[in-house]
Amino acid sequence: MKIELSSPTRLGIQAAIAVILAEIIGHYSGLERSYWAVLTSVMLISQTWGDSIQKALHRVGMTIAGGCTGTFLYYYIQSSPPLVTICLLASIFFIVYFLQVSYLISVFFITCLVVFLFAELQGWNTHLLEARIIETIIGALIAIVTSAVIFPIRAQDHSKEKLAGFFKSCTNILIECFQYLENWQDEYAHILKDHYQQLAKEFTQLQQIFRSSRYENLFSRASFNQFNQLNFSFYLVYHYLTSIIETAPMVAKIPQLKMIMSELKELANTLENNLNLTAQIIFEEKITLSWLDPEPLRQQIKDKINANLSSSEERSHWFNLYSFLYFCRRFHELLSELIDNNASAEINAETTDKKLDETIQS
Amino acid sequence: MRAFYNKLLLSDHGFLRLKQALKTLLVLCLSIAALYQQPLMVKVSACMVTGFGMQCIVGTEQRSQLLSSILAFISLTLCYALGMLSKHIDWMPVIILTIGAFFSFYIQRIGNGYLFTGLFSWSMIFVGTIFPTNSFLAIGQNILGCIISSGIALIINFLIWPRDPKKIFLNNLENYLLISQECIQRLEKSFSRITLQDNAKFLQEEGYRLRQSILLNQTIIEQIDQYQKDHINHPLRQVFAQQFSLGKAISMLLESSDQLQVYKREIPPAIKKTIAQLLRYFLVQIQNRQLLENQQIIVFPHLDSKIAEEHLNELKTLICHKNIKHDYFIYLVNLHLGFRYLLTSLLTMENAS
Repeated sequence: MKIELSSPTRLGIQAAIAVILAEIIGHYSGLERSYWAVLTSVMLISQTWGDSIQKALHRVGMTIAGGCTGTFLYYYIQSSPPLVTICLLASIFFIVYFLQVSYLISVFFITCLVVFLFAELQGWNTHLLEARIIETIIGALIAIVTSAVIFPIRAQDHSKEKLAGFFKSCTNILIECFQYLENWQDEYAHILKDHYQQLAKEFTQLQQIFRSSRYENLFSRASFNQFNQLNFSFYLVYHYLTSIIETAPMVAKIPQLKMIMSELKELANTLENNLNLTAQIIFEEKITLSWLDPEPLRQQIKDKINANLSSSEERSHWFNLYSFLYFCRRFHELLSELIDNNASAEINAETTDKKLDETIQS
Repeated sequence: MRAFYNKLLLSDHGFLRLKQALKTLLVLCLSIAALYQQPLMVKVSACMVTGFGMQCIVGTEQRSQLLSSILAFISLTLCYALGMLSKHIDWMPVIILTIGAFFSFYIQRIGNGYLFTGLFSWSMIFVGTIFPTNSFLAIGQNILGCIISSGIALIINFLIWPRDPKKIFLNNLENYLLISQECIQRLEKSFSRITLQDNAKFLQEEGYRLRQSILLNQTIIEQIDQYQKDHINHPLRQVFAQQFSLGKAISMLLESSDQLQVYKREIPPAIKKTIAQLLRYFLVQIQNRQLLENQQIIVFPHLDSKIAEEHLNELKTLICHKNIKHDYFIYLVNLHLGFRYLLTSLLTMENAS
């Protein structure tokens, strides 16, 4: 039976179990400063397993760097207590200064703060530094294991779901955009902007998930490269789709747009079809669609416009439409590249050959 | 010195993080001064409560910020007291720490902004369990110290440089425009010279800074969405949408100009000059934060005709041409429109307020 829990509840349970584990290890190992492991294990529990690994690596690295720097500085200035106090205050200053922008740098200064605070309270030595580093590593390992075993939230598991959502949003916004072109009203610009923001939010989440997934596949070079490639492809897909949305209001205002409306409708259907086909291939679903080539349509539109142009002023007027068509073409090419990357296993040979021919021709 | 100042200004426009760090230091110094005669442990715990509490402000309006601040200070002090008291019973610290750890994350159900409050409150339980404070008198002294320092923190927090998300947003936008300006300046320079410079490192750094700047404003917009009822019509949302578009245009322009490096020798000087002119045109607009009188894209047909005039024979030149005409050209249009829309929405917002 699969238990469905919300993310805060899962994280809460993970943190509670991390505390218990750290306390047990501390109790039986007889380590002198086991409380540092308890603190680290809770602080490193993050939204996904990948995030926890990333934070753990940063924490351990910066604890070593900050601890060594702080200890070196302390030995150099320990004869002057005011200087130790100044270093303590400086560490606090830099923690607050970097807290919102860089976890990495703030952890460095947190460790410096620990060095100078202990120096003020009871004194600091290399034995304490060693204990701090070992306990931090134990805490980091506990956090990684807990995040991986107890109600794990893996970015990879979410990536499929988020990607499906992203594809759905892309399809909806594309259909809507072309529908609005047919009978444009000014309020549609605001509606498209809202959808655009929603898409931006989904895209940011998708990027975060990809980033976390990279840490989950830290030791697999192939997956690392694959994720990088996929990430970049989606960045471009997103870019060209949003460019289509941005240029749509300008295209809608072209007075003679009705002249090419039937072709635009057909272009919308082609793009929708190819987007759905890409989704089917990526999600390894049963393929029910076949690839449609929008290039003849694009040419048809261009010819029709060129045949009806009467002045150079009109030419600059249609410039927006050329941009719009260019974005559609690039969007379409990217879908083709995405299919290329996933085609070998799923798509049948005939469709692949046809698509490859088309790609070469274009 | 000037270069350092500029770098600092670019990374923290409006010096908001600097102000927050200075405010925290001031509160700590005042707390230590107010508790001068108290034992060292009282001073340390009071400083911890204030230091943590200063970072737990949530909300976009002053009232909600004050409320969340008070709640954070109460939670931190109570948790510290709980940690200290738990030491009197065997195994109680472990139980309290375990339950506390659960609730420190569970609190996110109220809103993601409360993550810091939850984690810092748990940290205070933890500090309470490890500090050598055992007698009830010492516990009382510690709690009193925390209350005094919390009071000081509240006063300083809302009297000196109060935190205004709208101001942060606009300051960040200003910073963002400065980065954009730097980017375009660099691109313009690389086109106005005979050969293009190697921009890889610059592009990487500037692209990162642009994204960071956008992400910071996105956080503020998400806060507005979370805490304000009429968030859909919030003017900052419209401005943010435009900022996002412009950021995207600049990023693509940077990446595309990196690709152009491959063909740098093949780009005809006349085209380089025209692109540099175009970029200068944008630069003047961004520097003056205003649109030039002629808002039509008259320079684009000019570039188009310049490209048409060139005699193209070699395949490599043709490819380079295709890149400029189809990619770079469109990115420039995007940049133009992005800036135009951003400025228009900013002006609309200013007129409305």
